[in-house]
Amino acid sequence: MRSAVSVILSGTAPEQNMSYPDYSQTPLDHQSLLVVVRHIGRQLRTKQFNRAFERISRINQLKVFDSQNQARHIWIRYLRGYPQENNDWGDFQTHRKALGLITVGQCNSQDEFNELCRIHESLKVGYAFTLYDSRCILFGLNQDGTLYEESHSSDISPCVDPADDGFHKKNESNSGSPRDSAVSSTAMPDSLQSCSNSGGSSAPSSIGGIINIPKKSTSSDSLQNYLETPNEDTFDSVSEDSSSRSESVSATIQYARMEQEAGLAGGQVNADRQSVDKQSTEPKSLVAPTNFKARTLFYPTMEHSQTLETDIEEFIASLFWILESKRMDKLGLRKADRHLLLNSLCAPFEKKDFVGLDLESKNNKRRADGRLKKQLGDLSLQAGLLSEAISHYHSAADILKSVNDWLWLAGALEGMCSASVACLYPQLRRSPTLQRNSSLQGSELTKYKVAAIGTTNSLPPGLDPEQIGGYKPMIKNCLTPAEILEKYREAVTHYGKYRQAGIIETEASIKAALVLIEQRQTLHAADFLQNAVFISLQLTEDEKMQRFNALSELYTKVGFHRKAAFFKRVAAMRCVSPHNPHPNWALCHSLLLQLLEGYKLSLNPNEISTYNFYGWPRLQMQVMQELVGTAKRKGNNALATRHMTFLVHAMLPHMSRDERREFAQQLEALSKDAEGLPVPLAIDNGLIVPPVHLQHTPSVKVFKLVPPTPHLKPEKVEDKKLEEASPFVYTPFSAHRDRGAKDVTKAEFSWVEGELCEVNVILENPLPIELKVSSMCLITEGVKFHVNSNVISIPAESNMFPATLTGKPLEPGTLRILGYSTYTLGVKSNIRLKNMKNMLFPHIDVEIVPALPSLDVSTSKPKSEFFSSFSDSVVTSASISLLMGETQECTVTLTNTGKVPIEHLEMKMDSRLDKQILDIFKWSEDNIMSQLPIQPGASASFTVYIYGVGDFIGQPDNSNTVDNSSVSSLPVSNAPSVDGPSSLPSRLGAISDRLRPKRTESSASNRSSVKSGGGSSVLSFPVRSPKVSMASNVKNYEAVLNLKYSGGPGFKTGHFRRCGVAFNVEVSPTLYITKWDTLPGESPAQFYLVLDLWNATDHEMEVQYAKNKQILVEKAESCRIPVPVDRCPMTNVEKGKEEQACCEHIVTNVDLKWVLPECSGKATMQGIRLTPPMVQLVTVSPIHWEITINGESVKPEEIRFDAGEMISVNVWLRNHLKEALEDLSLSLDCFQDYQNGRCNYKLDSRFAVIGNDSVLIPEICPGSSFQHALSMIFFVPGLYKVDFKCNRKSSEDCVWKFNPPLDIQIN
Amino acid sequence: MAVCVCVIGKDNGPIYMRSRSRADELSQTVEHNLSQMAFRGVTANTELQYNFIVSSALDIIEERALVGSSASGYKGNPSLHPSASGGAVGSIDGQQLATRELYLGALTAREEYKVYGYMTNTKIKFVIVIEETSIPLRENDIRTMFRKLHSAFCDLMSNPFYLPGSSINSKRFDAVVTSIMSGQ
Repeated sequence: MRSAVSVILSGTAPEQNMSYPDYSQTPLDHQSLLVVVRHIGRQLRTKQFNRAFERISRINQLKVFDSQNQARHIWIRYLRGYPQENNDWGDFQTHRKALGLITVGQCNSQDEFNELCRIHESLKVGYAFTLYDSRCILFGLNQDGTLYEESHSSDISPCVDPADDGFHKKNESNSGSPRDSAVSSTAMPDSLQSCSNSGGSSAPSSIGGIINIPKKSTSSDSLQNYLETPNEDTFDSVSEDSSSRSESVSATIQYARMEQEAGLAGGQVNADRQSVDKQSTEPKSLVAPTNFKARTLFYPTMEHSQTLETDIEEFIASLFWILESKRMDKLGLRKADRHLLLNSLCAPFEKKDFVGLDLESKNNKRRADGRLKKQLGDLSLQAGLLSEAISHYHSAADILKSVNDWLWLAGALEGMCSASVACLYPQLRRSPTLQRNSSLQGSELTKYKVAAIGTTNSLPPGLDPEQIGGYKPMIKNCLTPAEILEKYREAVTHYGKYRQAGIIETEASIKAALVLIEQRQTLHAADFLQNAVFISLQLTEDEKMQRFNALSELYTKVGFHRKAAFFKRVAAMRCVSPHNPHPNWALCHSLLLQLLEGYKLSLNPNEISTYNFYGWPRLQMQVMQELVGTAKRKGNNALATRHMTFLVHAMLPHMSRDERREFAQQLEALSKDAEGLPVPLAIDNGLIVPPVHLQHTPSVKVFKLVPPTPHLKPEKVEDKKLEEASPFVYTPFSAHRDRGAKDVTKAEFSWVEGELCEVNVILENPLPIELKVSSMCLITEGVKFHVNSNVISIPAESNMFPATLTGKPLEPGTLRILGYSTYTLGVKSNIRLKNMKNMLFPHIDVEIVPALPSLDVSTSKPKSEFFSSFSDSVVTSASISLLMGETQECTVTLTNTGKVPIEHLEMKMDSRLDKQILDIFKWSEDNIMSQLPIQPGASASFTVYIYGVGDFIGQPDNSNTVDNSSVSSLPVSNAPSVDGPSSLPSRLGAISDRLRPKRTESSASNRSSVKSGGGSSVLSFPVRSPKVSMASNVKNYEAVLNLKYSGGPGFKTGHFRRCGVAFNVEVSPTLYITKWDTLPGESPAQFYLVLDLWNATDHEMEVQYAKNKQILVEKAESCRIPVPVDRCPMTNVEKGKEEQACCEHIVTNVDLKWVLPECSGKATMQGIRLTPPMVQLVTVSPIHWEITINGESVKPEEIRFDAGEMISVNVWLRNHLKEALEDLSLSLDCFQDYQNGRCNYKLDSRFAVIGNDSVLIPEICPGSSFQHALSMIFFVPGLYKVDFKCNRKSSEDCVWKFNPPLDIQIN
Repeated sequence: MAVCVCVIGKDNGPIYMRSRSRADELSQTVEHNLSQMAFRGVTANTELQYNFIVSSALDIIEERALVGSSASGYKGNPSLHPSASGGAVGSIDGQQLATRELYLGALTAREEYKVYGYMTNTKIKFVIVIEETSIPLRENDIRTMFRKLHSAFCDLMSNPFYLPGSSINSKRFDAVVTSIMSGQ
């Protein structure tokens, strides 16, 4: 036929189109027998029916042995419903015929039974032309048809309206293990038998060959005459709707199937129908059923239905035999005649167009031949004869091409492809059948599966489609994979010429796509799918939605997730399009949810990371907006809020300023209806929408725990043992290891029970509106924690907004801080630290120590404006200004501001000065201890005495103030050389050099310099105002009085707190002793300490230096004073320590008291150094001199004699020491002192000595004395001095002199 | 006439998107093209429309690129190519070439639009949506557009202040895109 025919043909009769495409078809379905399984009656629950359906559908393959005893593999496809329109295309493609019908129901009484039988029959009517056989499975009855409970009711209850039934189908269940064995050949005759039985009167006719023409006409008549036909139709469509609606959510859209039963005549249906009626009116005949006995399968319950599988297999076998017989019939027809063409070899829409055509023409005859071949191919394929089918198809295609019968040519080509696919890709079958398949053709399958494991859907490089499929041309003429693609293209192109064949084309495209997916030629598969998209079909909105949904699923299979998502969205939009009279928002919403994945969206905010953003933000936002809208329209406000929250949370980085504002406001508005709670939401379809936390509005940039202020920081009494574990004083390795091993999530400090704890956060508000956080608080676990919630208002787009989260731990233990919660924009969010991108730890642990007291300290002295920070726990300070030598008092008051008493208190003065501090500060420890414990709110006080220490010995040098000041403060610890009588302490050059560069540094760094000074007690102090001339002498001392206190529960666990009082003592100089010397005293028991005093103050100073002796010193002037001091008895003094002893003697005995107008103080001689001659003077010599001249003991005054007069001198030496003095020599020196520093010892001619002028003394015993007498005569007048010396023979340097020398005036 | 130019980054996120939005075109095209696609709810938003088109085209780009690269590494078996070249459904999928070509050809053909793709060696994808007009554009013109776009992109990458992978905000690039879209 010319192509024009097809155009004409395609012009009309849209009603003969198939209702909608079956998107779940696969090419292998061409091979299958279609069986419709229906749920009847209300007694059976849906769940039970599903179980039964599952059991039945497991039997999808059957091995039957045909008359030649060859194995045939029969495949069965079960559908729960099948539209009659599709069934009508059964002549074009025989696999579209519904061949069998199985109804499943439950009955508990006779009338129910009757009703079910009636429904069964009415269902059969729908597929009357195609049905081969049917079965009615009833639960609740015994095998023999009696009720399971053995109670047969014989009364007749009113029949339930069939339409009603359609709406309220309830199911009951069947269970049982799947049985997959093929029906044995011995079972075959039985099945055939039962088939013929079940067919009842129809069985003979079904086997008969020439039945078609009359039957068709009658059947159509009978159909029209059939009373309940309209009802049935509505019943069908309604049930379709309900099922599709419920199932579309899970995206598996099941369609009804057709059954073909040519063998069952309409008359038969009528007969059946009558019999049913009869039965319902005559209950007794039902008790012993006649008609139904054959086709009804009774099972007591699902559990007692082990024979179900066998029965179904038997049923399938019967279907096969009928099919086989039909195939044989067709095969027997050598030539197709016009009736055949009209009746069974035309597509539904073609019928009309054959009217008036010359069907006897050669062309048409050939066409009929071709079509017959094609149908034979279909039947052969169904009957399990692949190679036969292919050859039929080939010949059909040749014939049909020559007569330009494009539609059937396309059908033949598609059939060819299907047969080839069945041969090449048996694994295409749906997954439940895989197991069975593998047992059949295991090797290819496993091979394929191995090859299929890959990341992409596309072919791996260098792999041919042929290789993948395990291509083995098992069957002659089988198409190669490449040919399949070509044939499919051709078929689709030909189908495209007929508008009525749109559904066929769509299905063919989909099937081709499936095959190509299997071949992993995704681009071609996509081409076919795209083609399917553009096929124009007349569908309802609902059907369109399903179409797009199905396309989406297919695109997913192809691996085109974006495209799939796109179509999913189109499908969703279809649900609610304005043209749709019944917008289904819920469905739309659930479809939208499915497409999220395609756009790389996940409703779980944890799976989205802003760093790794993947996807198309613009589209994601659109989809999210749509989700919000649909959820809202659906009426699920909470869900809408949740989606909106997610939108704001996840898409924030991609929003423009306006969008941020808009969405934030939308969220606020939405949350008024349903506030966002941090709990998962369950949607109707079981999906759980996880909670979304608004982490970015506001976002926390810094989250930092605030340690307690140093003076409130609890500390623990530490075990020292840990440190002693290592023999090394310090090793960097262990230190590092310790740090690494330390629990980083653990805070380095502790908080105290019952006291306010703080966490500092810095917030950022990315929104261009002011963000009001009506509650912001910490999330913790562990110990009880009382959380204070904050109300924060963050200005628009501020990015550094500080806030503080506070709380109070109520018990000791470990507090784990997990995050924080906010309530903003109507959404409550719990943000965990582990989800925060700039937090390193998933949580922070803080130790909460038991309650401790807290101490407030005040002093009676003014606070200093400055104190160094070498202790960070200082709470207060006292500034004291002193003059050197002055003493002041400072009262320190301790107040307990905590809630527990202070039971323990330790005090220690810390300073960088080691020893001097002890001199400066003094207090009474006992006084404080007696005041413990200090109850909460109570206070205690004690006094600290402060003494202004200083070195009075020294010389402030005006010319080099700074330098000397430091020098003067240097205690000359062990300088051996003291030069001259003016024994200035020599400075230790090395030390001062070391100090000089440090002088201007801050006091904090001086500490280290002190340490580097090698432990010497050198004091360095900051010189704050060098411009003041005397400032060099103003010394500052800093010290901290550290208080360690504890009490209450914290004391028991060894915790304590410390606080400190900083003392800043400023010592101004008063008096300096710049020079000193010793002079012999007025009596040998005394000597004079001659001091040069220098008044460093600005006032006139009175210095009291001895009893009743005082002197006024003008400011900045010096004066010299002699201080009479008793000599130092050198008893009990070791050798070599004489100087030290002398110094101590001087320090203790010399008491300089200075008095200024406002104050007074004492100066000490601490630090004085003496030269050996001085020491001699200071010490009481071991020898006591007693000299008499002319019998009179000498006095320290001049003695007058005349020249030539003899002077007799008696000298007694007495030993004071406890040991004997040995080998002494006593000698006398006479000299003249010129009073100008020179002495003349050469007096040989001026005087004469009578007696020995020197004498050796062997020994003077302790306590005893030695006497020596001599006389002297002076010849020349003058002033002479006579020196008596006693020295030890052994050591020349040890000389004792009689002091002062004798003054003798010779006239 | 190019109506939309899009640059897509390595991770398949858009880094540049520019589309022409003329109201009259808009209503017409959307009515026409997507009447069967249930887009009436959002007809007003062409920009979104282009977003969808380009994003869907990404699927094909990925596949194309894959096939292209595999073909370059594998020159032996010709059997794949004949099968691929028998195209009836309207794509130029034939020439996946021995050397990896940057130009990916037409990705999807719709009634109103044609979408062309181009992928640089660094996996930056360019997509141009062409509106079908009476004067059909030649293949060469499309290639020229892509070359222009590519060189503009290279210039952009040479800017030390441009962070690769971030969204493009450059006047020069804008100017080039404008010239492409205006057909000069």
